[in-house]
Amino acid sequence: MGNRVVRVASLALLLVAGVVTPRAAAQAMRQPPPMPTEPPFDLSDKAVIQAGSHLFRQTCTGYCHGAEGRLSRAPALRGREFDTRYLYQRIAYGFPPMPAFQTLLAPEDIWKLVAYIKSLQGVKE
Amino acid sequence: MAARCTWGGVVSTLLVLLLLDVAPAGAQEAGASRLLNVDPNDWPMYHRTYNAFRFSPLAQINKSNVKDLTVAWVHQPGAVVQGLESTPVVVDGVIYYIGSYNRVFALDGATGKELWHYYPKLDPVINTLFFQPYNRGVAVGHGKVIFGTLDGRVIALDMKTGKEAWAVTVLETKKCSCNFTGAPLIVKDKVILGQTSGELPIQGKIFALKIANGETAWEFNTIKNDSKSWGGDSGKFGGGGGWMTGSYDPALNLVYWGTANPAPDYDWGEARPGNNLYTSSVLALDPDTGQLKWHYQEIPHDDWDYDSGLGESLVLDRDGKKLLVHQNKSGFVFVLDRTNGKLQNVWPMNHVYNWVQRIDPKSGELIGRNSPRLGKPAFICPWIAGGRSWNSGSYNPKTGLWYNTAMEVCEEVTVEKQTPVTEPAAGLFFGGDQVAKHPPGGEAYGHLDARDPVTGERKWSVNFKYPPIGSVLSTAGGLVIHGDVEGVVRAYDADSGEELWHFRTGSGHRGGPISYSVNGKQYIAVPSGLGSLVLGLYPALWPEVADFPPGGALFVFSLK
Repeated sequence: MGNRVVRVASLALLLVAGVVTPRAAAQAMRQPPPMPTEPPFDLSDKAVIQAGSHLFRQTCTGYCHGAEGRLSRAPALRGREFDTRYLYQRIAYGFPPMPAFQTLLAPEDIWKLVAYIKSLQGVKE
Repeated sequence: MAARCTWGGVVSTLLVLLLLDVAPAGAQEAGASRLLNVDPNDWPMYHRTYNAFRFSPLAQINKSNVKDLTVAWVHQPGAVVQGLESTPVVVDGVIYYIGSYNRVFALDGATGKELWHYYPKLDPVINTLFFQPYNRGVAVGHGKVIFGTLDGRVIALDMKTGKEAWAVTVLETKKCSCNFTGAPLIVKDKVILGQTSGELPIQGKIFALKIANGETAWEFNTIKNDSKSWGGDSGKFGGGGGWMTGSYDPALNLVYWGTANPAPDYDWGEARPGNNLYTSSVLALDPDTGQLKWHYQEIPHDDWDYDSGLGESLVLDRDGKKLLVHQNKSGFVFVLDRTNGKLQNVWPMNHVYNWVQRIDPKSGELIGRNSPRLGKPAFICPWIAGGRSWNSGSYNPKTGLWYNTAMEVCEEVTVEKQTPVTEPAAGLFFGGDQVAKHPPGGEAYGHLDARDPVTGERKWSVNFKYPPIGSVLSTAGGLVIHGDVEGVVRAYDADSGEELWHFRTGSGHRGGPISYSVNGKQYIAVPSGLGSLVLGLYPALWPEVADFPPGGALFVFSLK
């Protein structure tokens, strides 16, 4: 609580001093969620994988990853074994030019993507 | 009465000049007049001239001696993620260019010696964005080098020192996930640029800032506040924007700016009822006020991501008519009367298309629309990367030909209903996805054509296995310069298309080649460095492209 008071007071001072615009201040207050250590559901659950597939099509394919994890300028995701935690971190934190999704997607949604990508492990091609 | 020069008078004069922000005349200064009357030795703006010809009047390097072209120097920006997409500018022998992560350089045009560099401290939010970390160019004028940033700011540097003159935050990038990637255009005392937003559930705008201090002079919302044009609340998430560089006609005092596609890119049926003005349109704006003088919507209710934001708008006079030639991403070229926006002709750059049966060249009506919808995947030509991407062609007023590229590639589109995400930040809003496909009965390919820009009549073509995505340069030396995806830059005979020279730069070409002269010697500068979102679409057809080396280097050539 004390730290928050200090932060708000500091921000107010900066605003008064004209150092930070209200727009910039609003941006500065957004924080990424902390990284969860374990998935909140079974990653082999078909419903979870299906939800991850839906998210993957809306968020990751086309210009970035190939359809259904096929080759793009980004590496193919099909038929490969990935460490679960590595996948989560890669999606959350990105790797240029891959964007970081930690502030765009809820942790549950990142886990759904992890579930979908892990489901491609046994796919040939 | 004789005027007396005193120190006090000199100081007072300097103070007045500073207060008025009037840059003193001299070397390395490019004010509004120098942008109107471009020195033949210079390339002072993104398209070189306001008419967007990308034509150099220099002829020292020509058909007869281009075989002797050799590397004069190379400069490396040091950051190569997404390659090198920009077009350099040159004023008074100094070359200014921008690389990935908004790194800006000023170099001696004759030797490549660095005069200064500027590496901005960018907000980490850029790592969450779809449109990053590339930039297509800077604007130079009034003693400043001006560019938009990946984190939504516009920055002006002192042209001589590279020191920051001002930096202003224009976009709420952490909220909108939008930014600036295109080169600004300086018109009189303002700098104009548009934002990215076509794939985002936001409202994209075009901005004009005062060059003196960065204050916003006006902004134009490309999403019209009109319930007939945007059913329900769809306009709130309408996308649009104007991410590439426009043209200017000083006589009419009109700036021409193409706008991006509506969001979502694909419509599942009721995503955005209406014609979705002013997306996928060409706008004629008063540069002083931002007032809309006329508009022409090339793709009413765009169902394919065929935006109008890309490439050049040629300001061309023919047979007493003031024309504007603008290529849409669909591959169709729209010829307009630039005084009023009335359509004069439409012609296709592409040989393969099925998104419409045809476009009526008199009315502009899209006849036989083939719109992807929910349900069965749709086979669409050209693909989402377009009949051409945002790279520009080049018009040579001596040959009367426009040298322009095309991509003959199709796709399978699967439309999927999507809820726009705006909190905590805007998420991508495509409404479906797609995978590249070969055209019916043949292999996908690309080509460089020499065409009449008004009628579309073709004089020659050169084909490429991998569709080219680099801009084109033409010169008074009768040359056409163009680099391909494999990393080979070539000089062609402007009249015949015969290859006269080539050089392997080691990485593919996405930026814009230019020509300039220093101390009587002509140079050709070629940005090399493969990168681009578009390239992510290639490996579905050509897996080997995934291994094409990225890079980033500015190659400068001169005669031996």
